Amino acid sequence: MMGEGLSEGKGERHGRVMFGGGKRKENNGDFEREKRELKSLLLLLLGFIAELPKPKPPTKLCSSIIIISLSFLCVFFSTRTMIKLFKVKEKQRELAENANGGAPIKKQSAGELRLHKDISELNLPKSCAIQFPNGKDDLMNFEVTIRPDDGYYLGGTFLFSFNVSPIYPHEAPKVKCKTKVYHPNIDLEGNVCLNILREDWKPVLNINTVIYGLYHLFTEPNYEDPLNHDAAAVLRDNPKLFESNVRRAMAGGYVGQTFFARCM
Amino acid sequence: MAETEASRSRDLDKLLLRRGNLVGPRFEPGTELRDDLQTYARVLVVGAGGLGCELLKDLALSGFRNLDVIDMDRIEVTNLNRQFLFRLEDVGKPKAEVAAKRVMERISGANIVPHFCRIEDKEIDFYNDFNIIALGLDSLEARSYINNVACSFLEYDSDDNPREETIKPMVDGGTEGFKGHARVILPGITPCFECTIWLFPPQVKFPLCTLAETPRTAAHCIEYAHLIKWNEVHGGTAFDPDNPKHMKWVYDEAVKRAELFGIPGVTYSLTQGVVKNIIPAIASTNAIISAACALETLKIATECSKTMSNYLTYNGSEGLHTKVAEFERDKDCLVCGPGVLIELDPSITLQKFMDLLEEHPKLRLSKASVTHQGKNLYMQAPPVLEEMTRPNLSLPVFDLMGKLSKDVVHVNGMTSKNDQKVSCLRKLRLVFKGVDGVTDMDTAGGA
Repeated sequence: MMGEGLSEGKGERHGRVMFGGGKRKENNGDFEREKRELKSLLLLLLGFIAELPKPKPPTKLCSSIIIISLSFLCVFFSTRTMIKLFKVKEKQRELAENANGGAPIKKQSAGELRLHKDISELNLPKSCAIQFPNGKDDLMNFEVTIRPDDGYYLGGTFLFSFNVSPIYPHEAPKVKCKTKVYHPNIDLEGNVCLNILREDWKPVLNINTVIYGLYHLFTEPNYEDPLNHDAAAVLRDNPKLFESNVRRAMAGGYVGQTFFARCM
Repeated sequence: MAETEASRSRDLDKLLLRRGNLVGPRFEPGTELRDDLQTYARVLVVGAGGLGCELLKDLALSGFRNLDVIDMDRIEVTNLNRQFLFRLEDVGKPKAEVAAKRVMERISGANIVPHFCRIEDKEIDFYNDFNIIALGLDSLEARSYINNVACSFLEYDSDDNPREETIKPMVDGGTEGFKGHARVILPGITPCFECTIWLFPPQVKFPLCTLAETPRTAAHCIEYAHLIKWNEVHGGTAFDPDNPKHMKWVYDEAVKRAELFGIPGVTYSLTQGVVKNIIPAIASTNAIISAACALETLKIATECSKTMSNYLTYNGSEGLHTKVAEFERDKDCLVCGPGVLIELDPSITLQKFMDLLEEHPKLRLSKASVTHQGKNLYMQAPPVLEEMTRPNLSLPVFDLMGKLSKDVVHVNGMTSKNDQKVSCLRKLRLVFKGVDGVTDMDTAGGA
């Protein structure tokens, strides 16, 4: 509840996508450039550690005093005190009691508005597609399909569900993988270990960056951040076996005791 | 009666029957003011928990008689140490109903209407019936929602000044252990909740892989049970933090996990704290914050003193530190800001409207996407939405907005700033020329 500014990034040791801390990054560039940038940033997934730039503490308190006192003056020029205003309103309310008002309109939350901006500026590569199962007016719940065009998972199709809160971007979107996948950073329940979805989420990030982050999980799976312990161990100790396990799982079959439905 | 009334309002009378040094310019001391406060001021208290109980009592004792209280929760046994309006036999009953009843029993003349429901269940108009809204909440989402509703009543005149009669003042309190805040929000004048949402530190979220692989603290074990193990075992059933069985299951799993890794410190109350984000509440912090909020509410209503400008923080954990900081409005706030006033002919199509935005001197906005009250009128991307909204381009904006004479739309797109293209999101107040309901531009507002 307290206003103590943004808290600091914690010293967790694991892969992280790093972004320039200050200014919001415009994402109207082409995908290849984003990809290169992200790739270097994603050195991450190899256990790269760096400190996030410290956000500046708020310093703009005093300069507003004049503006605010001016606006107070404007209000006080009016002759009615608040209570007189209440009196007038109460009388109006009694009169209007039986008159039927306009249909209540659903107000858009600030989170929805920001999401609207994110979505309308999406710039996705061919390997990623977005769907809105509830139609064009529900942007808060959507699905993303990723078809990796490189790496172990080439040829597979993976579905993710996104659920966005009304206080977005103060809170990260909730993302689940709906396709059962043999992957070191995604468990069999669909939980995804991606730093920017949890501990490294910042309001300057957006839906585009999250989708790129997911995409990179497939091109560069990372055994240092295991969520599926077995898959991570195989990737670390025997990449050849890992590759064949991934192919078997994607084609529909068993890896160990676990059955994976076909997703190619 | 006269005697008891006089003794009851003795302290209040010192503020309302005489002129102090800090009164507002319109302040008129006298018994009429006191009577008007009792008769005409209607205050909604949002939340009937730790702060809400205090607020109801404080407001009722400060001369407010017409109070409503809204809360969706039922009383739990753990509330009883600080939510002093509740008794053991009340456990399981709705907080709002019991709180209203108890205050009315003790304070004659108080008329408190309880609402046992979610804040979202009420129509927007419900909130417009109150003169002031006092918030005793524990979540960002709920604050953001009420703020959005209160700001939606705000209208601006053609010079972008807020119209006073449309300002819905809010007084917001919040506590966490020995810390607390109280703030006054006069939409259009002082920063709204959304202007300063960055003040709230982000929630601590542990990396999932740490939980799964290398837990080091008791909280890691609890979050493992809550976020990973629960889904593994219960599949489709969503975890309900208010269900004691669910909580006990998570606690038991967390204990097993902690034993496996030799980590001490997992307790049932820590489990509740981590999973529900609960910080132990301190009764005296609630009392102090509530007193500040009730006083501000009284000051807004009567102008017996200037209101606090505009954000008080209180910290009682080591000695006592308290101060008031004046925060700034975000002039481009999408929730409380005036936006840009645009007058349109009802026949203008969406395509033509978007062309106008490019030429508009204050906007110069290209590649616009347009949304109106939850309806996406046009989306530049992704292709699937662009295709779905493209037919709207040839339709009149007036029709697309449900033939309202005026309303707010939000647009985002690209604009130029210092010769650089930047993306921006703007609020627009649209007014349609020659449509019934708008006779002069000064009533053209809406939020």
